[in-house]
Amino acid sequence: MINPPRFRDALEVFARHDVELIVVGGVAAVLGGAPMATFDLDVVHARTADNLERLGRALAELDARYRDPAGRLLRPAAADLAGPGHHLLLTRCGPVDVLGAIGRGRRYEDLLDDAATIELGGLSVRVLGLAALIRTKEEAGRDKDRAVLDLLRQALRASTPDRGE
Amino acid sequence: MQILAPAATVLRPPPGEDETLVRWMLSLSPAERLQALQGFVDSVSELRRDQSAPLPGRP
Repeated sequence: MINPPRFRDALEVFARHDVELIVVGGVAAVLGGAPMATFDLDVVHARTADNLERLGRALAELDARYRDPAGRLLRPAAADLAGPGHHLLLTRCGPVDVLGAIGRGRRYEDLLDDAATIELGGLSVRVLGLAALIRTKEEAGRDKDRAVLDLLRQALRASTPDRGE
Repeated sequence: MQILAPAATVLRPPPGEDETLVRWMLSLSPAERLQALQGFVDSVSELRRDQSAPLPGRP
């Protein structure tokens, strides 16, 4: 059974374990002001040894396992999380995608300059900005990424009205 | 001379765009935006639960 998403609860668990991550994907788009829907939380994590340890503890608390079509109970391993791959997980706070890199191989360190720390009622979360989110989706070039580009660009334009457009 | 845009251009945003929703989202704080998303997800989950429940009087 898939638990319905509880975005804030998942972010709280990551924060409690001091996991260095950047929220990307649909939740980042919404936080940036794009009126869209998503059912999973996408994060890009720092792949240092210390952070992988913290991430592993957070994922254990979240009871994370892979979304396996065969229904097997497969847990994410630290060695796998150290790579650039995408880990599509189910947790007790809903689907969480833990991403080693996005777009054209952009890692946590590559995205930091384009991320801002925002406050969510006492919870500090690092979130990728709309412009960078658009760039990574253009780079990924998948149908599902292209489908939301118009809306993201519109939200970006509306949120930066003094760009002379 | 003032050139007026056709009414359809004014009333209907380009396909896939909804200025009103964008403005509304941008008027919210990030915490409120997350609440709106969570509210949407909760509503859909509720609808799905209702949908999977048997109709009254049916097995």
